[in-house]
Formats: sequence, C-alpha cells, structure tokens
Amino acid sequence: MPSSVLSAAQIAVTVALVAWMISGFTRLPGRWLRWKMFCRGNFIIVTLTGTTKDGRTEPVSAYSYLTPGSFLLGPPQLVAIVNHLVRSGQYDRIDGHGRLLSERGEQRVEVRDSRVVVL
Amino acid sequence: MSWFFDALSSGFQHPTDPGHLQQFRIVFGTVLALRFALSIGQGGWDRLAPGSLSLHLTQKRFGLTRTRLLAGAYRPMLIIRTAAALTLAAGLASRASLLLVLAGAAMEMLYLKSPNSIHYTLLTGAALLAAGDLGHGLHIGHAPSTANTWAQCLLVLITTDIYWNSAWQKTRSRQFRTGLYLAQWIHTYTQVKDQLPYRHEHAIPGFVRRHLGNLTNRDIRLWRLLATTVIAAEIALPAALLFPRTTPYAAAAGIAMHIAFTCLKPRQLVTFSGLTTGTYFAFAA
Repeated sequence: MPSSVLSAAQIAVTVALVAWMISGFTRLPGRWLRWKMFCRGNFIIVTLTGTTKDGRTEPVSAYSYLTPGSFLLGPPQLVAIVNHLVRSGQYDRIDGHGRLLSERGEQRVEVRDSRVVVL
Repeated sequence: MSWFFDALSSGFQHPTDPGHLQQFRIVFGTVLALRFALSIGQGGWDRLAPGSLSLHLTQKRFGLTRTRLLAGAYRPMLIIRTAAALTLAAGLASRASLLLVLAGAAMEMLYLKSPNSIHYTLLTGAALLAAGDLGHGLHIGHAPSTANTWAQCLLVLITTDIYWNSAWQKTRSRQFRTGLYLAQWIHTYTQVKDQLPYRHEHAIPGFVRRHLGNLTNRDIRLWRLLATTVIAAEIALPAALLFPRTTPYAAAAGIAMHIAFTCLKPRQLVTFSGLTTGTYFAFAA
C-alpha cells in the first residue's frame, strides 16, 4: 500500500476515535469511552440470617456472592442474592437489617422474610 | 515540543523509537497473564457451574442455547488466554497471541458487570494490533522508524481520554466531589471486612480505617481534599507525561497515585493500574 494511502487511513481512524472520545464528554448515550469508575455508587452494610428448612438459623454473608474483590452491594444485587439463596433451596427464609449509603446519605435497609425493603 | 505533535502533523510519518511499543507489549502481556491467572482462582473456575447464581443470571440475559455455548467454552478459554498472555509478553507469535488475549478478555463482557477495565484492555490491545513492529522475544529495538508511530499516538490518546474523561465524570458526581463517596467506601470496608470471603486482599492501612473510616464530618472534609487532588492529578498527568522535561516526575506521581488506588481495590485494579502505568512508555519521546 502506498504510504500516502496508509497515512490517510490512519488519519481517518484517528479522527473518528477522537470524535468518539469527545462524545464521552456529552450526554449522548453510549457505554464505551465513558469512564465512570469510582465516582458514584451504593454501599449496603448488612447482616443476614438464614433459616433452613429444619428451622436452624445461621449467619449469611451477602458479600461472598459478589464478584471477587468487590464489596459494593446495591439494592438490586441484594435482592438477587436473597432470591437466589431461597430459590436454590439453601434457606427457607432470609432476614436481616442494615444501612444503605448513597449519594442521598444514609437509609435503613430491612430484609423481612426474604423481602428487601429500603426505608 | 513533544514528539507527539510532530507525529500528528506529519500524518504519522515521523520516526519514533519502536522500543516504547515493545516495552508496552511486555507490560500488557504480563498484566493480562496476572489478571487471567487470578480469574481462575477465587471461584472463577466454577463460574457458570450448574445451580450457580452466575449461570442463572447468564441464562436470564442470553437464553439457554447461548449460555450453553458460553459455559462450554468458558474453562478451555481460561487456560488458552492465560497461555496466550504469557507468549505475548515473551514475544513469541506476538500477533496471534494478542488476538487470543483480546478474545479471552472480550469474553468477560458476557458475565462481568463492570466492563471498564475490559474496555481499556481492548482499546489498548487494539492500539498494539496497529503497531508495525511488535518485536521478537524480549529484545527491544531502538532504531528510529515509522512502524510504531501511529500505534504509539493511539495509546497516548486512549490514556489521555481515560484520565480526562474520568476526571470529568468525577467532577459531575456530587457524591465524589464532596468526599462522600471515598468516606463511604472506607467506612463500608471497615464495617464489612470481616464478612468478606477473601479478606486479606485489601491493603487499606489500619490508621486510615481507624482515623478516616467513621463517616464523620471531619472525615468527609478530609476525603474531599483527597477527591480534589485526584481530579487535579488526572487532569494534569497526560500533558505532564508528554513533555520531556516533566515526564519522569509525572511518571513517578502517576505510579504513586495508582499504588494508592490499587490499595482500595487490589484485585480489580491490577489490570487498570498495570496497563495505565504501562502506557507511560508510549508517552516518552
């Protein structure tokens, strides 16, 4: 390939990349080149108790079910984990209480008979 | 003036030292070999196992057939991509290894929730793919050529974007700007650390937990100071890295900042911190 054609192709790709990068600074929708890491999030601090079919109770750590290395637990993740523990038959019911820390400050979280409620 | 502007204005026909890209190739291969090896442990091997939460969530997202394909390819791919990252670092069949590494990294987008480090891996990997001279073995060539000029410029653009855009996102987040996010992070960690399955992997010093982990107004004010410093550093770093006179200081400051980040999230930031500081090679003249 002649070097001028190669150079023109490289310039075109670079211009397109820079335009895509600029779109990351606008409100245009998109998932790539929007580096939203470590700037907002929900933190739930919760202690859970699981009740087995035969009536025994034991502590359950919701954090064991997160991606390894993460302790960021938001309401949807807590709901998914509680549902999974009950649906898979590991526990008959899950109860617990804790706090939700977010942009809005601090709220109470209750888990009553496997239902997650943010107060 | 920096080589970067000469390269841009010449339509990437300005000769550069091809060794910088080759040094980045070695860092890239090493960091991904580490990420991929870590992903086999801590329950990674059993991801998508029958009855697991991850299998259930994947079935809900992709349906039964595609989940079966992914679950079948998953374990072989964990092995293949780790081997490919090692051969890439060693400079054996670099281009083929690089393609396998990128495919293996892209697979994570199918089951991990926060794809930022994968996006960054794929973008910097694509820049490597654009290099004309990835080198052979661990030998680094220094004879000036135009083979890697474009790829080196792409790496500079990608890392500049990640710093500036993340500074912008942090500025837009009241939770981060006010110091609340960092204060909540550390407070949550102090409260739940004994419930974490792999509790020794975080490296947050005890005095930080005791003196800055209580979510008091004083704590939040101190974290706000740190939040502002991080935003300022992210804005200043790319330019400081690019100008030869400030390059060494900027690299030292950047590495120190990434070490601090990595204490907060060691496992998840191995890739991000390793690759970002690795691209500093591309900024040098």
